[in-house]
Amino acid sequence: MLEYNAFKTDEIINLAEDLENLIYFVDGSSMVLIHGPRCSGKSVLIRELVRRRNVVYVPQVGKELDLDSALKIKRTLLTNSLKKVPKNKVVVLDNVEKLPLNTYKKLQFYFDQGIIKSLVITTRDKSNLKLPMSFQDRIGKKVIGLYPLAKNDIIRLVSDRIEEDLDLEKIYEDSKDNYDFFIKVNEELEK
Amino acid sequence: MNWYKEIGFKDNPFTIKPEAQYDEFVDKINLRKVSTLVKNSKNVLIRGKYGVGKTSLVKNIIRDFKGQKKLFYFNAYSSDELDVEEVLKNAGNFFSRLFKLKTKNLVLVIDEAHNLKKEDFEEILEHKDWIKSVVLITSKSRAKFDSRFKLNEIKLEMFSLNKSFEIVEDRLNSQKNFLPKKVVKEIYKNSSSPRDFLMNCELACKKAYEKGANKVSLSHL
Repeated sequence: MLEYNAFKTDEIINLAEDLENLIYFVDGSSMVLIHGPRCSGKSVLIRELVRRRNVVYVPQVGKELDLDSALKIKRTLLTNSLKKVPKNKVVVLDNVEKLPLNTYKKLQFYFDQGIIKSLVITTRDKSNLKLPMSFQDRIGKKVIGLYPLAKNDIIRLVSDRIEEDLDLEKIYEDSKDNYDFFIKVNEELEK
Repeated sequence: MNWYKEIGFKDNPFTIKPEAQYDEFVDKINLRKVSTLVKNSKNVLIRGKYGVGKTSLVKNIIRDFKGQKKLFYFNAYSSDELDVEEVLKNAGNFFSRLFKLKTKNLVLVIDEAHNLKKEDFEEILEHKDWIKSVVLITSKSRAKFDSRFKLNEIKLEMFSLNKSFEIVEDRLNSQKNFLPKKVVKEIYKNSSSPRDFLMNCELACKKAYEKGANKVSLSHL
């Protein structure tokens, strides 16, 4: 089988500068947005971040998030006064589609108050996120946009990972995108 | 290693987090206005666009009242409800809390106040004899608030060019030559808010370091 889960692999292709920027932003107390289609390297960047820094990682966020649970915050009147709350957490929200306004505002608030040191959000389509202006303003220019691997790079990646001799060029031509290419290669391998 | 560690800082000196340690944003005039209003038991509305410095200003007010447990800060987006009775019973000193006595003279600070529910506003009005002053913070218009509150408005705006020089000096300290005034002026011209200004300064410094320069120049913008 061809492994295409980024968390189970090790290569970093064409992402060195993006990774350097991501680590810099996270270390410097930032809110970061990483966007790009499937198989553009978002999970590779996150994997590297998770391996190098202590983070609260929430995979597959989608359309809702129980932030207090993720941060292990107990809601009582006293925590409104911010006494017994965690501090300086690096939070990674992976695969966000769109969150309720209240959740964005809460994330902002926790960021301002230092409960969250840095926040990283990944998404496939940034226009779908519907981030409020105040949230976007905190991200500012700390946006990392990723592109799918080019044909030669992904063919090389796959041929390095498999033992079988397949006509990868042909399979690539028949595929809609890189993700589809992985699927089709696996279909061939199963034959 | 990065640009700020290289020049001797442990953390990003251009952080956008509203930290009370960086006072320069706080327009001393506005801070004094708000403090005076609160001490005279007047209600205040702090208005301004996102990134202009509302929360930073408020952090300084909170610091002034700190330790007396006479101030309660509430962010209207961060929780579901505001129980004014409970707040009054939990504020104050150890004895008043022990006997669940409601504190008098509480300063209630509400951030993102436009999101507070109508019932919560009513509850605040009901308890006005116990509340010394209400400070509302918002980016929206004053029309959103009940006129019964008699709000004194303080509007925050982008700071001046001279202030921007002061801010860079305050943040970079002895290393201020790393970001020369000529460059600060250009960054200022292209910044839409205090927060935007800080972030642009940070990114310019990062770029200069990555290009191997020993200070920021216009080419790094």
